[in-house]
Amino acid sequence: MADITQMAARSGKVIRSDNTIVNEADGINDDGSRRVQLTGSSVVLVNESNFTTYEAGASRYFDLSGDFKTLLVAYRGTAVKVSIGAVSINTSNNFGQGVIPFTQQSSKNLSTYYGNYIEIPMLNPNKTRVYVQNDDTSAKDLAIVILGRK
Amino acid sequence: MPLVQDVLNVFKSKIDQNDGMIVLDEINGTRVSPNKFLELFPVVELSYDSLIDVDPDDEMGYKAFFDKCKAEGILT
Repeated sequence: MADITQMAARSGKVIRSDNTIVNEADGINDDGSRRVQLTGSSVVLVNESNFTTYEAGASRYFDLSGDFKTLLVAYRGTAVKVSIGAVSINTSNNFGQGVIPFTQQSSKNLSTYYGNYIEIPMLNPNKTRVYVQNDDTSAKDLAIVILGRK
Repeated sequence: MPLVQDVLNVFKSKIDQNDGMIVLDEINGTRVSPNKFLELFPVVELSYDSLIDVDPDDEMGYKAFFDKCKAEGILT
């Protein structure tokens, strides 16, 4: 059996595909255990509304708060064209700088439960007002679900 | 043809002062912008009958709002 105490130590340096050099040995603790960092994102339910009748061209808004990077707005409804907008509300309850106009968001034709969603930035962690607008030419019943991605 | 300012004047008591939208239903919170309203209802005058005539089958869903406005004396 090999005596590892008699072997020369080797460097843990490796070259990554972007040509940067890292030392993988730096990820090893003194007792030999490995340091592992998990990366990813989590999604939580922020708001869920019951079915509501939206007149043609009408909208509703939802005031949201929370430390989210983005908001995912999904909806139930049959064959409707829906658009999403958002504004940041400041502490005086006035509209702030951040605005996502309806026209800059995709409209999607939906026919299935949660078939699609639109993801928008969380403009203000204290208060972001999200608008959901029925762009169809007739009244539609819509139920809205808003998720926050951290 | 009515202008945005005319819509704001007629529906004055229904306008959200924070965002200038016409509040159609105070319970469920639906609202419409005055511009969109004029686009949907290209009427000669903002009267109950002329607005109803645009959508007699109420496909757009505004009849309840117009009825309420008539009952409150906002529309004649």
